[in-house]
This record gives sequence, structure tokens and C-alpha cells, in this order.
Amino acid sequence: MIEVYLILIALAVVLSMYRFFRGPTTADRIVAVDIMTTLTTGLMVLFALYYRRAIFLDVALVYAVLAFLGVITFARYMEGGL
Amino acid sequence: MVKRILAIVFILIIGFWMAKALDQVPFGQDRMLVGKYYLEHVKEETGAVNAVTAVVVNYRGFDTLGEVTVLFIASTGVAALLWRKKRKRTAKTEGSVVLTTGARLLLPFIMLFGVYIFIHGHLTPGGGFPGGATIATAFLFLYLAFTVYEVDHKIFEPLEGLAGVGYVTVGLIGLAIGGYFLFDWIWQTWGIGKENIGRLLSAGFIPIIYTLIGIKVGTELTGIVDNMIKEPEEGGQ
Repeated sequence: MIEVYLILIALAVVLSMYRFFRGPTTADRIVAVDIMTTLTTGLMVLFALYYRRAIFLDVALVYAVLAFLGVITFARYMEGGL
Repeated sequence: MVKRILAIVFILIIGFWMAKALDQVPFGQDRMLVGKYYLEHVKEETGAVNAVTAVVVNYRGFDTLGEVTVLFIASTGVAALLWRKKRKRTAKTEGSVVLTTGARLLLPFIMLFGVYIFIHGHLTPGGGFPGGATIATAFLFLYLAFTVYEVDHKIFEPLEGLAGVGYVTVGLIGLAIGGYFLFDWIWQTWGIGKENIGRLLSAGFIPIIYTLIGIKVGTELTGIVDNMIKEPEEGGQ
């Protein structure tokens, strides 16, 4: 059952990759990266379930923090706050 | 166009060559020699449950010292390259209320999480370097949210140096007690925490060294961010 979810989320990442490569504006690409990082966090949690290792959840937590900060950095750069 | 085609052909040749070489390596087979020793002896020799941190800090501690030195040189190099007497932040746009309030609320959580990662280096994935990077992330968040924020350099740079000196001191104590540099004196001679492998107070000097590395990496990356985000004042040198 988990495999189905893994494939679905991986498919969603590939689909948002389309917006990343084609997106006409920079904001489109940043939003695409934001979506991809959020999906990847979910993917990591699912992998923790798949391998039945609770310690993998730590990695997902770190990734959530870093992904959030990355998007904030790009957004601040675009509004001239750096 | 010719240049690009030539470059692609060249990369393809290199890739084919490397794939040919990798074909000889048996993946997924039980061919480990040193790795098997680590996995079998890591618990009674170091007390750490996380084999990676045991290898990085205990078996191959000298490499970690080199890595910390590389980071220190990077931080010092950035500071030396961007050195000016009067530098301050030139950001004009204030962060939105959501961003500043979010930074205030999230900051303790990110800090606590970074400290959690480097204190539990011998139990969970991570260790000093990811923990330090997470702490630097918290400071980056402050830099992004507030246009006038600046770290206290009187505290930060001495802390960085003290953490590095602490790492070498732990190694030198090992040299004095055990006979070689970075000898795990807490585990192998005192035997503290032999009963509770897998709990917080175990694994010899790995938590101590990872705390020092975490502080050092956190302050160093924050220093790099601080140096790169500031610009010299208009007209002034």
C-alpha cells in the first residue's frame, strides 16, 4: 500500500518539475521548488514508514526546516530585503 | 555550436569510461573488509549506536579535525576577502509582519532542534555538522527577517575559537592518557556509561566532541553569512 503512495508522490514531484523548467517567471520556479521540497518531505516520512525506521523522521524534520528557509531566502532576495 | 558538441562528446567519453570502470565493482555484494569490522565492533569499542558517527569521530577522528579546519579556513578566508573597516547591512525592504513574527516564534524551535541533533549524534542520524548547520539556519532566518540584525561579534568569534581549541584539547588529553591523538579516554579508560549503550550518557567522548563541533560549525556558517550579507558604506572605506 505504501508503494502506491510513494509512486504517486514521486509522480507529483515530476509534474511540478515541469513547472520548474517551463515556468515563465522566477516566482513560478520558486513556487515549484517549494512544492517539490514539501512533497519530498512527505516522501521521506513515507520512506521512514516503508523501512520501519523511526530515526529517518529526523531527516525529514531537518529537510522541512531547510526547505522553508531556502524559499524564504529567494523570496527576500526578490523583494530586495538582502 | 561546435564547442558545445565537442564538450558533449568529451563528457560522454568520460562517462562511458567511468561506467566501464564501475562495472568491475560488485555492488550489493558482501565484500566489506573494514566496514564489517566497524559494524561488528562499534558497540563495545566506542559505545555508539550510530556507526557513522563512531567512524567519523572515533576511528577516523583525524579526518574530522581536518574538516573542521577546512571550515575554519573557509570562514577566515571569506572574512579576509570581504574585510572593510565600516560595513553594515544595506537591506532596504523590511520583512513583512508574518515573516518577522514567524522568525520570532520559530527561532527557539530551530535552535533547540539543532542542539538536539548535535547532542544526539551517537544515537540518531546527524551529528555536529548538520546540527551546526541547523543553528546557522536559525541565525540566517534572523538575518532574513530583520534588516538591522547583526550577531554579537564579541561573543561569536571567541566562541568559535574556543570550540576549536576544545576539540584539540580533547584530543591532547587522549594523547596524554592513551598514547595517541584523539584516544577515546572517557570510554576506554574510565568506562563511563558501559551499561547504558543507546542512551544519552554513553559513547565516550563522541557527544562532547559533537557539541564542540556543533557550536563551531554553527558560529562559522553564521559568520560567513554575516560577512557576505554586509556591504561597505557609501563613500566610506
